[in-house]
Amino acid sequence: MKRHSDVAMMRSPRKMGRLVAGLVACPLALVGMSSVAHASSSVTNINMWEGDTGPAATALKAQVAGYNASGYGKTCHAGTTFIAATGHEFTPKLLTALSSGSGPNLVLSYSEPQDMAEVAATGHLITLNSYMSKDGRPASYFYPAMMKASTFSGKVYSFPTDGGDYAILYNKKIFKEAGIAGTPTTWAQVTADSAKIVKSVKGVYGFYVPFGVNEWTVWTFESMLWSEGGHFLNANNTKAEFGSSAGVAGLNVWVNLLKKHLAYPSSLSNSAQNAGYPGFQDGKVAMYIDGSYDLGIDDKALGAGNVGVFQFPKTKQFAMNTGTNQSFMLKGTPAQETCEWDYLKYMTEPSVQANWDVATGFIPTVKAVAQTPTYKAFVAKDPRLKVFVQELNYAHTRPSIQNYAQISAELGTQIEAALMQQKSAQAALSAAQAQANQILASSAG
Amino acid sequence: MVEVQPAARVRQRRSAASARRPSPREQVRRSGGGINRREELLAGYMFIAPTAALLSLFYFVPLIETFYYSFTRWDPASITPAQFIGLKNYSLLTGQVGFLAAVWHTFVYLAFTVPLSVAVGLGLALLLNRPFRGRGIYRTLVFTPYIAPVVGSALVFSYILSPLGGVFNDLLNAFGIRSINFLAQNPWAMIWLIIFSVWQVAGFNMVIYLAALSSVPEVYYEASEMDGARWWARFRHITWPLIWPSTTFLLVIGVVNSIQVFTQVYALTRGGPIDSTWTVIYWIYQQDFVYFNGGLATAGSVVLFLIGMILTLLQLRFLGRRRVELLT
Repeated sequence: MKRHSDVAMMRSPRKMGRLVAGLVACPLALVGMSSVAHASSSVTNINMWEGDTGPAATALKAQVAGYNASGYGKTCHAGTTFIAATGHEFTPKLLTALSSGSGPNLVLSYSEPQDMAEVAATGHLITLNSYMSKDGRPASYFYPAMMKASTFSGKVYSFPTDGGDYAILYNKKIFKEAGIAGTPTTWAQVTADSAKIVKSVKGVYGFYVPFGVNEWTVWTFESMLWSEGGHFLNANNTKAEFGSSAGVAGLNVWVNLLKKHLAYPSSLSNSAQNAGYPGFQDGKVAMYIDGSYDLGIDDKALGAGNVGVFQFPKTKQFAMNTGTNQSFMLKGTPAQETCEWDYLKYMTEPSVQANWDVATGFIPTVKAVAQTPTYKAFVAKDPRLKVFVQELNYAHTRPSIQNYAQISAELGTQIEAALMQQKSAQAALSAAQAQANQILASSAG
Repeated sequence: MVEVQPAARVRQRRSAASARRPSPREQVRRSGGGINRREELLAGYMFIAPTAALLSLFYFVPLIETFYYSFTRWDPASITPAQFIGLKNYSLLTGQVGFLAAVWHTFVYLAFTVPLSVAVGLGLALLLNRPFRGRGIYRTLVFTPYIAPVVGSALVFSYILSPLGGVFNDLLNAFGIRSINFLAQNPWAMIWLIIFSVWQVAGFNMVIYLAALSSVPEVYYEASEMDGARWWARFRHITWPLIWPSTTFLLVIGVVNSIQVFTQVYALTRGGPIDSTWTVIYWIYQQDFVYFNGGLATAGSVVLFLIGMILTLLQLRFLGRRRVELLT
C-alpha cells in the first residue's frame, strides 16, 4: 500500500519535477564547488599515475600532501591515480592511455626502466635536459648508473626516484649451524659454503638460483657477465655480446651449483615469479639474491637479526646492476608542464627523498641523500642497507634500447633452459645471442 | 532390437511427404498476403541493420585492420605510422620467433583438453542423470568451476600445487616423495594446464549432455530392455547416436576455445617453464603488449584465424555427417 506522502507527491508533478531537478543539481553543484576550489586562484591540477601498495602507498600520500602544502605547490595541485598493474603490465596500460590521449601528466616510480626507450618512442615524454641545466638538477646530482637508465639517444627522459639493486641475503642461523664464520666475497666461496650447508644442515640447500624467464633472471645474470669482464651489447648497441666466454663462465657458476646439488633444483614459484624469498623464508635455502625492499618481510618471517646481507660476490671483479624506478613528465599544457617539473624537483629534494627511502626501503638515487640526518640515522639503525648503497659505486645499467624487453625475454628463456640443464650454458647463450642479433637487425632495418 | 535410423533414410521419407506440402512463400502468395517481396526484404534489412552496424564497427572493421597490419611493421605504442613490408611478418613466423612452437603447444593442449573434457562431461552427465538424493547439489558442484573466475580458480590451483606448503605436495611428502614444482617443471606444467582446463569446462559439458540425455525418448530404452540389451549396447546404439549433435557442438566449441587459450596460461605458468606452455594467444599477447611488435602479432592472429576456420570447417564437414534423427 502506498504511503500518503507518496500519493501526494505523485499527484503533484510540479513538486516531483522540483525534486528530480534538486537531485540532479546537488551533485553538479558539489562538483562545481570542488573544481572552483582549485580553479578560482588559477591553480593548475596535475594527475600522477602510480602503482604503490603497502608502506609505499602511505609514504606517497604523505609526499603528495607535503607537496601541496609546501611552497612548491603554490600554483599547482597534485593528485594521484592508482594503477592496479604490476611490473610489465603497467607499460601496456600506459601506452594504451597515451595512444588514446587519456594519459597522466606524470608517472611516478615506473618500475620497468628497461622499457623506458619504448615509452620514449611514443613521443609523449618531455625531455628534461633544458630543465635540468637551469634549475638545479644536473645529471651529476644523481648516481651515474641510475641516471644512465634515464637517458635514451642522448636525451634525459626521466629521473631515477626509487633506487634498487641487489645483494645476497643469508640466513645467519643456518650459517652458524654449518660452522660458517664469515660471509663469502667470491662465487667460489659461495659454492664452498653451500657445500658445507648441504652437508651439515638437513633438508637445506645453500643457494637459490634465479630460475625464471623474466627480467629478474636476466637482470641478475648481467652482474655475473660484467663480473667476468663481459659486455651485454657492443659499444654502439648493434650486436649482442652476452654469449661470449665471459657470459658462459658467469652462467656456469649457477649451473654448477645446481649440478652439484648445492642450489635448490627447481623454481619455487612459477616461471615468471622467480623471487627466491618464499624458499628463503621457508628455511629451504640459506642464501638468495634480493633487493633491500624485501628485508622487512624476511625479518618478519625469520626473526629480526637472523637475516644478513653481503655484497654480490665476484668472479673476477665486483659488478652490480641498477634497477631504479623512474619518474617522468608527459606533454600537457605549459602550466601543467611547469607543475610537473615542480613536482619532480620536489620529490628529488634530498630531505623528501630521504623520507621516501626510509619509508619504502628503496636506496637513494640522489647522492646528497646519504648525507641527510634522516638517512644517516636510518642506516645507523640498519647497517645492512650500507651494502646496497656501497654497491652503487661500481654499478652498471642495462642498455637503453627499444627492443631490450624482447631480447631480455629470449635470453631469460635460454638461461632457464641452461639452469634446468636442458642445454649447456654455451648452447643456451649462443641461441639467445643469435635471436638477439636478429631482433636488433630487424629493428635497425 | 530398436536401432535409430540414419538421417539419410529419414530425410528420404520426409522429402516425399514435403513434396505434397506448399512452401511458406507459396502459402503467403496463395493467401493473398499484402506484403510484397521488396517490402519483405526491406523489413528484414531494417531488423538486422543495428546488429550489422555494431558487428561491422566492432568486428569486421578490426578484422580487416588486422589483415592490413599483418603486412606492416607497426609498433602500436609508437607515433611512427605503420610501414608496409609485404609478407615479411609471415616469413618471420616460420623463423626463430617461437610461433611454430606456440602452435605446437596449442595443438598438444587442444588434443588432450577437448576429448578429455567431453569424455568427463559425458561421464558426469551419465552419472548425474540417474535420480538419487542430493543430485541437484552434485550437479551444482560440478558446474561451479565453469562459472568461477578463471584467474581466481587458477590462483587456488597454484596454492594447492605449490612446492612450499601446497596440499598436493604435502600429500606426496607423506608418501616420502619429494616436493615437485608442478607449474615450473616439464612436463608437469602442461599436464596441469590441461587438468585445470578439463576441471573447469567439464561442468558445462555435463549440462549440455544432461539436456541431450533428457531428450532421448524413454521408449527406446524400454524397447531395448525388452530385447535384452545390456547397458553398453543401449549406450552405443541409442544414447550415443542421439546425443551426437551435442557432442559435435561441444567438440566444435571446445576446439575454438582451446586454440584461444590464454587466461589459464597467464595465471598458472606465464608460458613457462622455459617456453613449454606458450600458446598462440599467449605468443600474440607477448608480441603485441610486451614487445610491441604489432605487425608480427597481427600476422600471428591472422594465422590463428585461418587455423580456427579450417578446423571448424573440417569438424562440421566430418562430424556433421553422422547426424542422426529420431524416428517419427
